[in-house]
Amino acid sequence: MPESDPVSELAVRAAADDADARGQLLESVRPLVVGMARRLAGRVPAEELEQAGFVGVLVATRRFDPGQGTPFIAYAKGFVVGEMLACVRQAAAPVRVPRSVRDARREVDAAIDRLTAANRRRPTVAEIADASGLDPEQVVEGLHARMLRHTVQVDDVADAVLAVPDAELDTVLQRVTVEGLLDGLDDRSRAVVGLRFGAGLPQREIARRMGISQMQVSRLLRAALERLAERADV
Amino acid sequence: MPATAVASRLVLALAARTTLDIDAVDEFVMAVDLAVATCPPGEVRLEARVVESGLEVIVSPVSPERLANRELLLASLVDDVELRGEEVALRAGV
Repeated sequence: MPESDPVSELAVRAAADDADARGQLLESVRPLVVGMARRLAGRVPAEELEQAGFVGVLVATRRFDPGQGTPFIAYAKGFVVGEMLACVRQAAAPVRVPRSVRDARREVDAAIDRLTAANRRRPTVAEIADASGLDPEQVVEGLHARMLRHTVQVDDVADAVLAVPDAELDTVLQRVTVEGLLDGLDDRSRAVVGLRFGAGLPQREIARRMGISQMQVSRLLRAALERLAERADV
Repeated sequence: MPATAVASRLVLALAARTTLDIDAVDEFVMAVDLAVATCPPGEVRLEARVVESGLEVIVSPVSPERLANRELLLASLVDDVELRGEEVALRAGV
């Protein structure tokens, strides 16, 4: 690695789970990310694209090999643009949720949390209906709203991608890759799909390992499967 | 309304009469969506019923070739997958 490239050094340290280096790296690349976000902003606000761009930077740290001689800043550009474009594509099919449905979803979420804590197991739909006091139609709409594709916070995604040991992830990805299921999926989707379908881990275990909520795992998994479902060749 | 939105509401409504937990229902809906996505546009037939304390959904007309490629995923999402020509039966908790 050239000594004159401190950003590449930060990227290597960030990939090794150095939180300080990760913070410094994100500050170092901020002008690049902000500039690209401004150019692509339109349907999606620049702030949201910036978040996606930072995810791209962190994903790039996992793949970066300083031995190849390419400075990290140049290497990461493709990942930054890729995440931003994915964000734009997602916004092309906006989901509008009425306030009544948002309220029902909030009640359903609260009931699930209460019941899971009280019974030390996940509730059934009937139990959620009883505990929430909602009528059956509202429960269905609230549950359906929970399942819609949802923006995941940048820190959660970054931690999710970085928290999985490389060796373990590589092993499970190899199994799934054999089935040809991972083509076209980005790194974060590969991680979730690999652990769920390659390693056979339940969503709750994936959530525990990644330090994110089961619902976030579900959303990442759903988004990956939706992308897969859109493909005609699989 | 897209077929997947109808299918997921149907599964959720019927799931209230089963003992499946919310995570199993969540993954059952994903499996139905994957199967529905292989049907020709505008032509989806769904048969859903509560069996014992579980759920069975039959989706047709599916593409057997595309569904075969997705069998690993489907088998991970539900308890039982039965592909019969142009229809697939998905079961959980049965």
